[in-house]
Amino acid sequence: MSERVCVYAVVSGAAGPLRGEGAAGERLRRVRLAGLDLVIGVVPRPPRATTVALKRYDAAVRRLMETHGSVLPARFGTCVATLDELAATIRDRREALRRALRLVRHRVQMTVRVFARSGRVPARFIAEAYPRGTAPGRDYLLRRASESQVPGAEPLRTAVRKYVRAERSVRQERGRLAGSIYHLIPRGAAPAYRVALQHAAVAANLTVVVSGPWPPYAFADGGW
Amino acid sequence: MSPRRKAATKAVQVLGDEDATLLDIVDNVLTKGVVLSGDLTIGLAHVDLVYARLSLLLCAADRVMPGEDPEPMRRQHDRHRARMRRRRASARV
Repeated sequence: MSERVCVYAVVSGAAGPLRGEGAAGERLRRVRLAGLDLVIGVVPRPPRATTVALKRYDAAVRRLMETHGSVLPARFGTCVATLDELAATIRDRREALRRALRLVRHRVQMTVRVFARSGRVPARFIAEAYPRGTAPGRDYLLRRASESQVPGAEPLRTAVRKYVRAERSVRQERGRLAGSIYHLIPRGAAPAYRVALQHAAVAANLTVVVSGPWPPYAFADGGW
Repeated sequence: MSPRRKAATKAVQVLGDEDATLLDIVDNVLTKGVVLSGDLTIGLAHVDLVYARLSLLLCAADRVMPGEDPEPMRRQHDRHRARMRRRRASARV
């Protein structure tokens, strides 16, 4: 089987040489394609999704954060046969990727998992997520916009609003997990963000699990 | 302190010394991030623990593709052959 080029991230603002290895122990390289800098590794076969490989992949992306102002992590397993193929793939997305690089510059991701206190997500949490408009069309649009909102999480958003530069959220309503919220915040703001969010969770009687800071995975693709 | 050591210290502070859980890592690296190619190629190997917890996080299960050929051209060829077989079978009926 021929070698594969695995992509780790689109980067900018390089402030030093690459450090460490890729998920498979391969040497990482920074290449310029279609006007963008990418970090790649060449591997003999596609990566296998083992726990070790996933952790090493995340560790490699984290190290990129230490030497670059902006990092757009690639999804694990993003592999192509040749650099020419990679260049052709990103050429059409160049402007969107540049916008995403500006968005994540000197910023990190915090992840908030919101849980219902007991049993399933309360009906009131779900009801408030579906606001009523004044016309069927508007109703439809409002409902679509709210489909991804995590019910009951508004007090959390209010508490950390001054830190948040962008947000993504996913409703889950599976068992006790009401949903996940991803916040993009300035590097260095994580401790203050955590304190503000945890105080708000206590005040709102919500169970939350906060993790981070992470590389900005949830903001790398402009929406998913 | 040399500039490089200063930079290294600052780098540690940027991301901190967080306890990165496996679930969060899986959520990040398998369901987020830029997708730069038409096909994601992942081999499945010994991920029972990860897969069991994926359902808790509602991770995209299509990130894990058991038994699928990692070569996109071969997959396309297989799909084409399967379509032709179905057409021949329906023509015989």
